[in-house]
Amino acid sequence: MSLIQRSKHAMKEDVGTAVEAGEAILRERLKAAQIAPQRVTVSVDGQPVEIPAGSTVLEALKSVGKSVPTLCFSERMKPYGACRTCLIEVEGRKPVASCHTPVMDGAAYKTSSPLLSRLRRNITELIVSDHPLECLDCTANGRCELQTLAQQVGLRTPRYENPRKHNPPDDDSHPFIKVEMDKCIGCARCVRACDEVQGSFILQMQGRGYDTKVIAGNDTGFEQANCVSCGQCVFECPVAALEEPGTRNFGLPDATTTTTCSYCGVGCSLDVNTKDGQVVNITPSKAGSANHGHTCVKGRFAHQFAHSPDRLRTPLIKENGSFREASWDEALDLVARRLGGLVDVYGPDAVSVISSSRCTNEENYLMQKLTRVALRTNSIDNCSRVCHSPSAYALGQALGTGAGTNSFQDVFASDVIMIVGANPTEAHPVFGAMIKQAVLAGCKLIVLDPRNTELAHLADVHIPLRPGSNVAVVNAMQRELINNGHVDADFVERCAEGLDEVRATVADCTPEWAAEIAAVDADLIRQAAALYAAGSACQILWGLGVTEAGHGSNTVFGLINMAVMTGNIGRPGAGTCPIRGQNNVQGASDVGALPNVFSDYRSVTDPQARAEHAATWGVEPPDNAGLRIPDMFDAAHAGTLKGMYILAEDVAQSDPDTTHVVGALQKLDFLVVQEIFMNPTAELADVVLPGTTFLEKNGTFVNSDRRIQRVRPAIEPLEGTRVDGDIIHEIARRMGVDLGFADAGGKIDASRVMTELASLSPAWRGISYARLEEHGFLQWPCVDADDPGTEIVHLDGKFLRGKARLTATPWQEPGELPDEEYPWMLTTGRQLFHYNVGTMTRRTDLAKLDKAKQETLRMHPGDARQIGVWSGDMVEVESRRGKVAVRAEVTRASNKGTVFMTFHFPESRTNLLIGNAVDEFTGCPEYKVCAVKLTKVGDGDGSGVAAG
Amino acid sequence: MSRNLIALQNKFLGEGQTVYDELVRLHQRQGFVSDDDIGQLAETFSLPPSLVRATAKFYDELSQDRPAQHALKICNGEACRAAGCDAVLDHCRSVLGIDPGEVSATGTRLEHVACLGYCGLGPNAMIDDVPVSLAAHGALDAVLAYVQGGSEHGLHEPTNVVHVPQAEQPVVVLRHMGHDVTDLESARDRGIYSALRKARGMAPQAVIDEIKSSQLRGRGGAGFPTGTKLQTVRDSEAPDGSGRRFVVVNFDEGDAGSYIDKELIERDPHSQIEGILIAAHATGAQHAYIYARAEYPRARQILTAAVTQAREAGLLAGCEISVVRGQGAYICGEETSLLRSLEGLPALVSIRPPFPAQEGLWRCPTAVNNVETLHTLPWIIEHGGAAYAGIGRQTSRGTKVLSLNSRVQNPGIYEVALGTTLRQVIFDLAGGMADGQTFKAVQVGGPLGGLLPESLLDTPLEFEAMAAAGGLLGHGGIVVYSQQDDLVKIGRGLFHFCAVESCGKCFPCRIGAVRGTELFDQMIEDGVTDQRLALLGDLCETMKYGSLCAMGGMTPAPIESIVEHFPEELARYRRTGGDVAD
Repeated sequence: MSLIQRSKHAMKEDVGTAVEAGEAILRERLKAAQIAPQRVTVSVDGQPVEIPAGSTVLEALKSVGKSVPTLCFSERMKPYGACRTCLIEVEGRKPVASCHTPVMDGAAYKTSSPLLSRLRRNITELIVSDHPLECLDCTANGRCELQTLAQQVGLRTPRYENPRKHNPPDDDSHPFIKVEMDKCIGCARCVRACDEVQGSFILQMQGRGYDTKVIAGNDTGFEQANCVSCGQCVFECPVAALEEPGTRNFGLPDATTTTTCSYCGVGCSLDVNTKDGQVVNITPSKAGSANHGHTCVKGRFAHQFAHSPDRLRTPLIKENGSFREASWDEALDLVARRLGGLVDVYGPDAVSVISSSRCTNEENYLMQKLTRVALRTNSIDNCSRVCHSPSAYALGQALGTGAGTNSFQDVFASDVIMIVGANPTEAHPVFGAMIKQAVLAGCKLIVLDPRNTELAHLADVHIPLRPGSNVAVVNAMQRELINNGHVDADFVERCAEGLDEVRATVADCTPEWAAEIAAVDADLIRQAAALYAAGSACQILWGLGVTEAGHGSNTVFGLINMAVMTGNIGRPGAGTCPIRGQNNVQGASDVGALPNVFSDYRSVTDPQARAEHAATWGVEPPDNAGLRIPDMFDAAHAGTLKGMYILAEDVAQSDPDTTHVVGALQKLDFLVVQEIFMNPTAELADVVLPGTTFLEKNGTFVNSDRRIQRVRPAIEPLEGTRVDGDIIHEIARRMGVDLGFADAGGKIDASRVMTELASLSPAWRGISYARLEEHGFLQWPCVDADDPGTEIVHLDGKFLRGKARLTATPWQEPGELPDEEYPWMLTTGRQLFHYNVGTMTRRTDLAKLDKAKQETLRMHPGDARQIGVWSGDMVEVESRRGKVAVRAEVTRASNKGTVFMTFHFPESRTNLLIGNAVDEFTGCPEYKVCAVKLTKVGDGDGSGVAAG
Repeated sequence: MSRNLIALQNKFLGEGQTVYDELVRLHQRQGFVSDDDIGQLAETFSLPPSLVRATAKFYDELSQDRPAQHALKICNGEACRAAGCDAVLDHCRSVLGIDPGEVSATGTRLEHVACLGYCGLGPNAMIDDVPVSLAAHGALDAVLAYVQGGSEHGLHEPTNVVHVPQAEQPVVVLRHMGHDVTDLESARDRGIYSALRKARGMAPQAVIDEIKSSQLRGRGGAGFPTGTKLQTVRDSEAPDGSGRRFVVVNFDEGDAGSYIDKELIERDPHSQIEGILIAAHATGAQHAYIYARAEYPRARQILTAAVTQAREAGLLAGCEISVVRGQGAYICGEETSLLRSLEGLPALVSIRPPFPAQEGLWRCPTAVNNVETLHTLPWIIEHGGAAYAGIGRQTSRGTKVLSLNSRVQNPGIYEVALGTTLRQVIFDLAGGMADGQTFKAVQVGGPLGGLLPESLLDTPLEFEAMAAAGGLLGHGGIVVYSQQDDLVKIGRGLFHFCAVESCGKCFPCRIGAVRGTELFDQMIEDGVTDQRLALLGDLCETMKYGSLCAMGGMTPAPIESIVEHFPEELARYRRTGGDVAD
């Protein structure tokens, strides 16, 4: 596993800095791989091998294509040395295990000898003597590592007479992790994966000697042990002691397609294993540059939605208030005619488009091209408007590029990580696990979050600030940095501007002042600032708790200020990175599904960009800024917006102030929705077009760290559905516009879309499908065909905008504050087992997990006592806009005064409560700040835990 | 070994604090650790329940999950086995109506223990926290009556005999025996701590050089040159740059038949502390941990008191000493297992390298030394390395303390110059076989040592010579077997010991020890056959070459020696008329 894939720039410039960063693994590996490139020469079966000192004998063998059997070894984890099947001989010594024996200069290793053959065979015999001899009845038959080994060494029935075998009962209760421990060989790969990869520590080897067994938690089974169901244990199991249901139900797959996950913004590479056109299971791809063989429960197990019987399979047209099935021709013609007609009658700006961050870059590019060329308006937006638009805006303004500065693996080069308003171990589990590993390896952690998240618990300093108070706390931290002499004067002088204004703005923002607003101890703010200042490579990561929490842009500016003024940017481990929420929310914006920019954030008014687009597209694009999503709903209410085309975005559920949104959609003359399932937005449509899932399409996604990765079709589009890009192309064609890229059958060639996209986007010019196939991924900026892509932007303080801008961030109250009538603050977010409005995850077996069954209102025991509820009781949550009823869950994960709900369960209608206050720069709503009152309205079933 | 689990303990319990210590405190308070306790402890400290549970369940003591008024542990070490402990256990079983590991209706927990260190006085048992000899008539009945609510059993912890060498013989380790030096004042009167003063006046490197010149090799069994080990610790750095180094004393004297360290600590604790502080000065260690066996309550108490005295007298001077109580796991005598135990992890053996001297306790350079080794250091500093090297022979210099079991005329503790032969020890020093006993075999160095026949008794007690003869010098515990001992059953017991005490990590030891026990059971019950002997041979080879540590790697040694030197023992189990068909 190469955690330290460095770009050519970083490699050259900053190895030294990374070493000081203090992360032990990094230091050791850098030492071994780069700083001390000492090499030794050994021989393997007489063949000379030159290899870095410190390598293991096994690595030496592999480097010359030799192999020895292994069972407990996994290259992602530290050597363990238990199974002893990898024994080799070296002159003058007893046989040694190659997996953990370092090479010795000049040594001669032998991988075969009569002794080694006997030992391997007889060790295998011992293992098999405690293993059921029921291969035909086993789901691992044909891929079992023990079976393969037994065949290799020529073992048939073990000679031991009546050996005592372990025979614990099977445990079939977990939906994804099937347990048959009579098959366990005790290699502890599951235990080590749970520790070294996932960092959950659910599993351990318990006991001593022959009685050693794998336990989950306090030997309570996986679910009760708070297992996150990432499936890493199943992935590592060499036999079928831990098994997933897929192969049980279907047998071995007959094809594997590597693609990119369509859940969160981590961008895990997945191997989709199929049989007869059905997904058997999904396994993490070890070659994945973002995940290195890791995934979370969603990417790994939540895929059955693709084959869900309620997938939309035919276009629907609404007549007299209800839908009827229609042919594709009829539906597409109707859409083209109605949208075209509205443009003709009311002008281009009477229609708008919401594109989808769930769809590919190519589809988003097609969508914005359709909008600008066929509809002739700039009114296209995507859901980044309601999530990270403040991040993109502030990063673009302050630094010159609207994306995170560093890469995921940089957390291993940081010595301080500060996380603000993000819960990555639940919302971005694979990245969350990386952060956890970094912190456990010694990196310091600061967390600003109203909730006691898992990472907050691990933090060196946790500031449990009140929702809406981010700017105040970040201002106080800036003041601490400035007043305590932590400004890197050389760096600021050389690379930044605007310090004086910032100094003036935060001059009165004392820790005591901010502490009052945030309802925290002022010392925490001092400690956090001091810890940040003490780091040599500090990284700030944030999530929607920043951007959706009132004045999001100003908070982001403040965080950037902290990084720039201390010189913590443009170096390995030092930077400012938003953690993007959706699989392709970065890409949808990158490729121009925004109302003011073309792809690569080129302004629609930029003459050069306009000229290039006009030349390529053959028409002059519109030059007036289009409508942003909230503006679209306002315009619909005002009657100026008449028609909308919404691609895979359930705004009636996911956008704030649901009543306002639904009213807007109802007022439209014509609404077309392209979806995979019927949903509240589609219910309001005049035409519904059945699109496809990521498993059925070709294209690319951009993940949270600017990593462009391929999406490849693993199954054919379900009968009756069409690939979304093909639909967009067809609508344009029926409006008399050829978007290009389609073959005679109307099927889009995604690689040709990328070619045009790259040609119009300076930071993407080096991207092509050929190069993506070759490299596996490319991180933009990637400016030409020789550019390996950019792991860290703004290296050496060379900011893309010239000098970094330190931006004054005056404190303002959030749009919503508690008062006597609405005394609690509600904040919203995700939980691990579901995704957004649950469209996909709730159609999978994830819904069978206890923690995924229903929405709850998470509240502190003290708050619960105050309104007299227990876990399980029904509580009415009422905001200034509406009320919903939900079951209480009393937990210390919530702090007093702040309650939490997700928005995964449409029936609980969380977003009905949310106000319409928005960020002043970007229109991003304040989902995270909502004053509510709480009233007990019903008893639970008595199973709840007592409050307090 | 999980670095993450160490980090979690440091984070949530405090730097250097462990879940092991928490569990030990809990166990000391209430005598057991229940499932609920494990859950509570995990929740209180935000630690993974799996870690707390796995750590607890690694140890015999911490695995006790229900209360008991009394704990009765019957020793089944080799010496006690020879003295009839099986019959004792059977009697306890029937009287209490339970099997080992269970708690009787009257609240007595019955357990096995392997060696209480009174191998000349067996059969022995531990009643609550007191080791007693059951050799006297009526002792067992008194104990059983007591645990069932009767009157006090009236038994006391026995005393071993220490034979101080004759005047003309070299005496190093036992030099203060015969004097009461457990108290600091009397220790000082005998000159203890004068070597420490001298060492502290020397540069650390000079101390190491002196130890190197003594050619002292570790007395725990592996025989690694002590000076080289201390040098490595001194020359290595902690990966976090903190400069931390440790001395760890392996006082987990688990070899059945060895009670050497026990007597050294009980009778002369301050020489041990002096040795530790000399090693700390030489290596630059700021903290020493003494990992003391659970089965030696008296030694622990004496040692703890001595450490307190030394601390109060200001002798520690920058090197804190902690006494950590073991919890009943033989494998913790293996140095990496011991270190993991100190770190609060399930004490599985770790891969090497890294060696503890480079990367040991909490990844810091750590000198793990045996008690006797450290006991030797003051003498070396006082008399010079050359004087020490002048004793002994070849590559084995200095003296070795030995312990002998009750099959000889004069069991007890002896100190001899290395190079002394086994015959001299058994037949000269110890007075030959006890009355009515005829020599059959001798096993040196605990359960991992080969059994040597009469014909090899002229083998000198040296590391290399013993190994060449198929034996082991090891830690110097000597168990002599007589015509009363059935070596096939002894072999079965040795395999069974490995099965019970294997850490369970590497496959050959974990599974092999159980298969070996089964194989012996089959041979005993169903007859020795050529096929079974062939399979036994393969199993021994597999464990010898395949195991991760010396426990699995050397368990075959005594088995192979029985097959090689005592074929007639096995032949007794062949069925008449040749091999019994399977």
